[in-house]
Amino acid sequence: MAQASTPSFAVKTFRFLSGFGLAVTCLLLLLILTWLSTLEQPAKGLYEVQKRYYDAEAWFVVPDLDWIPQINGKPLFIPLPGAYLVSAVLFVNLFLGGIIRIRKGWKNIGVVISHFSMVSLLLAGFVSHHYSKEGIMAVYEGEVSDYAQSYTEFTIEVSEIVDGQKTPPYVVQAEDLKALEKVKSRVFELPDLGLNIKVSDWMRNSARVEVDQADIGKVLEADGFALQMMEVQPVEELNMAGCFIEVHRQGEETQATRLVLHGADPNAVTATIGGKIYGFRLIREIWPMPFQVRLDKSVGEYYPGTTKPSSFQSDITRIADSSEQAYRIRMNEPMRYEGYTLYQARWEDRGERAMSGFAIVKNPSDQWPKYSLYISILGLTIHFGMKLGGFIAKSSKGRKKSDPIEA
Amino acid sequence: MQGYGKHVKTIMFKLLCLGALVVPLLVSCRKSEKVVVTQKRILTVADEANDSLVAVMPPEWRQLPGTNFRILNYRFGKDGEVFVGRSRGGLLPNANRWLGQFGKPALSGVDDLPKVKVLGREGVLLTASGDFGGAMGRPARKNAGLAGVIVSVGDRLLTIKMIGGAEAVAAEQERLIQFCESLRIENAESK
Repeated sequence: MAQASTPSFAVKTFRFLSGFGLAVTCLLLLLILTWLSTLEQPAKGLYEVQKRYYDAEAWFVVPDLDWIPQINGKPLFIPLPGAYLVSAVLFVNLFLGGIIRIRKGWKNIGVVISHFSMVSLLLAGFVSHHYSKEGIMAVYEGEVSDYAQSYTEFTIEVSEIVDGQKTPPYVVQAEDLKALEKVKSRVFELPDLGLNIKVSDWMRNSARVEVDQADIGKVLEADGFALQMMEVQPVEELNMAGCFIEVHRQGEETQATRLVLHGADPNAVTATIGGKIYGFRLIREIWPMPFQVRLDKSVGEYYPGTTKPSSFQSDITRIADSSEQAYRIRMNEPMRYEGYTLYQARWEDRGERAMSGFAIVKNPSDQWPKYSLYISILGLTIHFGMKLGGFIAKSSKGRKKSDPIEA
Repeated sequence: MQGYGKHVKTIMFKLLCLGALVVPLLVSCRKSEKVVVTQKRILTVADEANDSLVAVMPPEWRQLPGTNFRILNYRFGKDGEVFVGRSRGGLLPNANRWLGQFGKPALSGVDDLPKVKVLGREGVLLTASGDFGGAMGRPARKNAGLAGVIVSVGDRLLTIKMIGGAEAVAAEQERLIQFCESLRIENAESK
């Protein structure tokens, strides 16, 4: 009898990556991670939990819960792969197994379509994670706004001030500043301005304090201000970042100017470097919109006997490309325009003027989960429809065979 | 034994496959210590004044973070300060409080003081030099100078105060007056 040939390395790899075992393992891990992150969220907050469990850079996560057993006073170290990593592996597995490897034919068409819907759902998640953006636009009645602001991400803006006027700022992005939570300092080169900025002593939540004259020179301070580290709040919107920067012209490291930046400061801190005035500001990321929104009327209702809004709507005029269009935005009835979606998120009645807060989301894959669901419904309908039809056909054939023959 | 060895080999092989999938992602995420920033954003409504009080900072000054008592906070020269704040209690008592910090006698009225136009109103200009007795968290200092403007706005006062070395303050006084005259209110309520 001839011996079966040993599968090649490539075949073995393909079989493993497309196998049921890997799929079930990934799904079980996702279930566990979702459960654990839900349990951690009340204490740690949504932002922190999303970062630890679901961020692209969270390769592994160690659950931090009270009921985890302890050894010698320390919680048991149980590392789990991060959800992004598991989802990436699952994506590869579903693609290779559910679309490439699966037996193709009319009998399996429904299953193939369903697998395709799951692959597209994971792809939607990937696109959303890397390319979506959201912010909040606050507008008072009668006023116009043309920007949204991030809820949580801080940036450093640097602009030259010419004849008392601010020029368009250069922006040090939030993801580049995030590294400062792990390293002491980081240098940013601004070649167009000929400046280098060293950012250091980053604090995720801080208070800016005035330094007593007697302590000047004894503590880290700039212009008589220091930073005091504060406890990080679970609600990230309540955290106010702070940092020190040292600015100098490129090639003149010994002549750096030290400044302190704090997220709560409404105005920029200025420095004159090489005869030019620059403004530096630590601010939640400002996101310019390709249109303006004028809030014509803002109406809200409170729950009886409370000051909590129960429903609100805004009549706005969207101004873009020299044209104006009126629109009404209500809770659950957003406005969509060129990939941007504006939801009514907040409403406040400040006595003389009402204010509407619009949550603005730009997500290229905004509608993909909905389409994936439709595709999944189609696939399952086809598959179970064929199964049902086959069952009915088989049953009626069987009944005909067992019917007595009439004389 | 052979079966056990094959089992271990299978596990090692599977880990290798997963590693090959994961390592490229790991490597691509290493952060360099230096970042080049070239991205700009356009100016928006956000870049307009945050406070209703708008000021044009002279290029010779530097703007610092504000504090509870300083809406606008500036530095000039070696250690000169200019700050804009809001106060209560009447023009004359506040003027005498400033003069008292320099050991000067109290005034009986402000009519004879030089006037400066601020926000469409008449403010009074105060000057003094000598030994500063210390205030607002600042230590006592010899040969100090004061130049400042106090103006009534509604039921409150707007104060623009300059403190520093006596010669430095005297040299900056004209610029201070121009700064005061350039102040304006951003919103419609400008009276």
